[in-house]
Amino acid sequence: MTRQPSPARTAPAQEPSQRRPPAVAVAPESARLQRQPWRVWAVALLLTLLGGLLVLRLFDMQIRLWSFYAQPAAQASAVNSVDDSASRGLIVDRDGELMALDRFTYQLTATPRHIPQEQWKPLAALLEQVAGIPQAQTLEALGQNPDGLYAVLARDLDYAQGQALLRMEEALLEDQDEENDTLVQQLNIAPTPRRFYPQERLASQVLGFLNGERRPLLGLERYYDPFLRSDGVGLPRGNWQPVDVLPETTRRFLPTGKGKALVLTLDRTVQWIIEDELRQGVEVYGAQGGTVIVMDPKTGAILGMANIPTFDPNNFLEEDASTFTNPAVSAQYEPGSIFKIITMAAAIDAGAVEPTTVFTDTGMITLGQRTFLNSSRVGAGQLTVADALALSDNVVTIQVAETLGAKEFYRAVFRFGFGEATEIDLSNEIPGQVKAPGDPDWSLSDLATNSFGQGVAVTPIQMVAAAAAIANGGQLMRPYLVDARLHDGYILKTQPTVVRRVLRPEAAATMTEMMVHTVEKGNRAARVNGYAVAGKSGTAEIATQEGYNTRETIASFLGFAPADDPQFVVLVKLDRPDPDISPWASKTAAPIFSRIAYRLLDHLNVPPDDIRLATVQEAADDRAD
Amino acid sequence: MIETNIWRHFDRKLFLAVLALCGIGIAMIYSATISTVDLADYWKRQLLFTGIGVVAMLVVAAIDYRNLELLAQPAYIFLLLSLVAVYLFGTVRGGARRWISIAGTDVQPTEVGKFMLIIFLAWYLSRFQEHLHRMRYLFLAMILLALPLGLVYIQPDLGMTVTLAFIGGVLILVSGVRFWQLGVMGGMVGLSTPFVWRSLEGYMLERIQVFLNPQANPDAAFNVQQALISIGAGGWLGRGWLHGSQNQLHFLRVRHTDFIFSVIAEEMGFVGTVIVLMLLFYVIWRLVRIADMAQDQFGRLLTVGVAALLFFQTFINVGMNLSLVPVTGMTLPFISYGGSSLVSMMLAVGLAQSVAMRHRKMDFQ
Repeated sequence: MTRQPSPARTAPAQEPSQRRPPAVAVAPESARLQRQPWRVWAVALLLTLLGGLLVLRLFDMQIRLWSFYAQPAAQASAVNSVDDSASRGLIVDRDGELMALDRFTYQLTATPRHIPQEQWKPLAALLEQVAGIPQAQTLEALGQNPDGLYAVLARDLDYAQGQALLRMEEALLEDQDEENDTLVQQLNIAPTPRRFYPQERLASQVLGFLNGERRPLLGLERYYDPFLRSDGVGLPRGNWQPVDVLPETTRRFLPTGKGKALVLTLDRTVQWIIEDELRQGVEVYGAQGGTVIVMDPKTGAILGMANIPTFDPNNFLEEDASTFTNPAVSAQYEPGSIFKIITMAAAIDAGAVEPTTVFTDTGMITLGQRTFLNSSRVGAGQLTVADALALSDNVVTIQVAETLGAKEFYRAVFRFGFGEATEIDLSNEIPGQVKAPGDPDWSLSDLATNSFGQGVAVTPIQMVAAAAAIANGGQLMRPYLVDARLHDGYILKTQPTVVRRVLRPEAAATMTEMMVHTVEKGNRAARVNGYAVAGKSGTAEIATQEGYNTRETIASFLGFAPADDPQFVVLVKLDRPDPDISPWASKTAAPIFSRIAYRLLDHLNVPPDDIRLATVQEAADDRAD
Repeated sequence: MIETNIWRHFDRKLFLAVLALCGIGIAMIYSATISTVDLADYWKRQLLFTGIGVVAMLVVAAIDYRNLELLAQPAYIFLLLSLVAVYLFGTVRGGARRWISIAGTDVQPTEVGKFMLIIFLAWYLSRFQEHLHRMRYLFLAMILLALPLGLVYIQPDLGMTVTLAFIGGVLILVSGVRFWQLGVMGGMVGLSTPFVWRSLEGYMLERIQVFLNPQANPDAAFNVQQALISIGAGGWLGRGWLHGSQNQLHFLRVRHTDFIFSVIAEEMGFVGTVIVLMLLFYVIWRLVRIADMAQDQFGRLLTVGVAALLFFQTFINVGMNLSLVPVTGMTLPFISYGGSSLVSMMLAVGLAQSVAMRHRKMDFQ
């Protein structure tokens, strides 16, 4: 065995040991070579301490502060969950018309730090030549942060531009110039999705939209974001069906294989009809805005939901942000006399009054030390309950509420769903406000005001749902907008949900008759030729800081048709119609309702009553034979 | 007979732990790179490197480590010469002169230099073990360590300088220094700190300052921030393999090399990272155990050097991911992508195996 000669003067302390086993005994090691176990243990202790430090830090970050970090990570995935194959789910109406979809444009980004400054000018010139990106734009983007790792040179490049850039990259890579290769590596041309709303303003507040960072704002986009996004959740458990169960027209734009979509209950034609009529109504009556909702009372499906003012989600940046929210679910108002149907329905359901019960209207009534007048300021004398509703008599309505009693009245109000969100599948729904006995600022006079719809705050969707309960034989349905969710070839249909029974079926039928009577006698402008229509108008005074003002009103009409077999409930609400034209709902909202109902009956192919009832009769006769 | 015999004390547990780490590494590299077109085959390459590494490890283990004593002095001289050569003729990349071009390929001498230094110091410290209580032998050891350290420092390469200093320090500590000597050395280091700080190259300062004050340089702080988000988002069990958005959506840069720990943390969670750390520390512990059993001081110091290197890289890499230490560009042993770092780590483990296989002075079989 050889050893290097020692560089130091001292000789080695021991002979090297033998190398190959079986080894023979070697010379004993010197005392210095005796193990010093504490040193090894010290090392072990140090290792444990430092390892423990890492684990502690990990625990701190991953467990204790998890929510702090999980959110940016989730946002990162929300913002960036994009590629060609997996884009955000699309939205179609009940007939398969496209309402929202992703369109791809190209985005050109670069790493300014790694592009030498002397290459900027030639690069900008090249980009202008190839894709028409202005030189100044490129130079500005690079110059903003010359040391940065990320700069957007151009966004929203169309297909031709994107392809031209990709071909340019290919050409640069294929030539033998290495400098070009490094340049290409600093450029990135990526298809980027942009949310597109082909119907433009139509139903914009229902759909909501994605902002520039593709974060969902409001509406269905927001409510269904966890489902719609490409990395989102799948369908919940339930009765999944193959997509083929949908009619072919509904399916025409839906993804056949992978992909997600929402099929709405909304009908684009219904939506167009109500937006058209609402726009005309707002113009003709000089209103500041308005809302129309159409709902199928039997299921709760929303067929249309329109507001004015509205916005174009494709250009949301140029629109007034106050128009983005959906007042149909996110704004509350005092409903006024249309709320009398709730008071009357409650009293009839409880058996407190009959439609034929007679009350005396002296023109004024005092309750809880407050005196109330009719809107006409005159007394009508002897009135039946049915006529009181038809003539919208405040004094009799207050007497009906008094007869019913505060306890029963508010029970009914809450049963109809006021004071709580309807849980429609839209974001930002508010519950409204109902003061009731037991609340500190409730007094007996509130029973009177509430009975004719003042001093209570409701949302339009609550009002529609409550009226739909009357039209639906007394059962309150949960309103909904999505008929089916599609995920990778399977759909899950939304099952209509009964919230609760609010009226006995007989009470609902009686109430319907009274509302038909109301249209025939009081709201003749709401009639539709050939159909029996049930409804009620209401002119609510808007509470301002100076108190109620008769010149600022909300005129609304709530009705359904055909009365014997309601196909839809419609709420028409006009905000602040010009009082010099007419502040009264019976002259403004009622005729709008009539026109809408006429067009809806036509669109939904509902035959006029005489034909339809004759057919029903024939069918009954046939069965009898 | 002899053939079967020499493998008798081969440390199988160490071997299996290393293989497990390599396996985790390949799986995580797959996750980190599969969504990037240019890197999509990296996991296959890492698999190949692992194969090469295992073979290299077995070959080194089969060779008696004591032969390395012969190499100690030539290796040291070679290291110094190559560092001088880098200083004189090296290629500059990213402001640092660390590479030397040999036959068209850039080679970084310090990658091999780590092992050369371990071998040399182990030799020196074991050779003059009897005399280390005399200050002049100890000083000579420190000067011999300081020479390559200084040459690496002027490259500049702060990470490697600190690595070499740590390994040297541990070897000197373990080789039997007296406490008063430690005190003297500690005092010297303490005194030199301000001077070192002042002379730190701008980019190093920048990195350290990014660490101390992330707001100052948002660009450089970006990756550290993304790593923190990745790790924090992991929670107990992580977001699942191939499901870490930070990783898959390329928010993390150098995610398959320096920041692979963040990928593990995001996708495998606290449980996953603790398992990886436990495996790494188990490997280090096995190495310390081999050092404890080694039949001679050279073998012991050799193994301690390997353990120190492994520990230091683990601690600095994980610490950097966790924002405990500045970003220095150090790989996570056995897990980070990279042929040279993986194979050299396997070679190091092979050295330790060689020591383990020969720890018995007598073996009557």
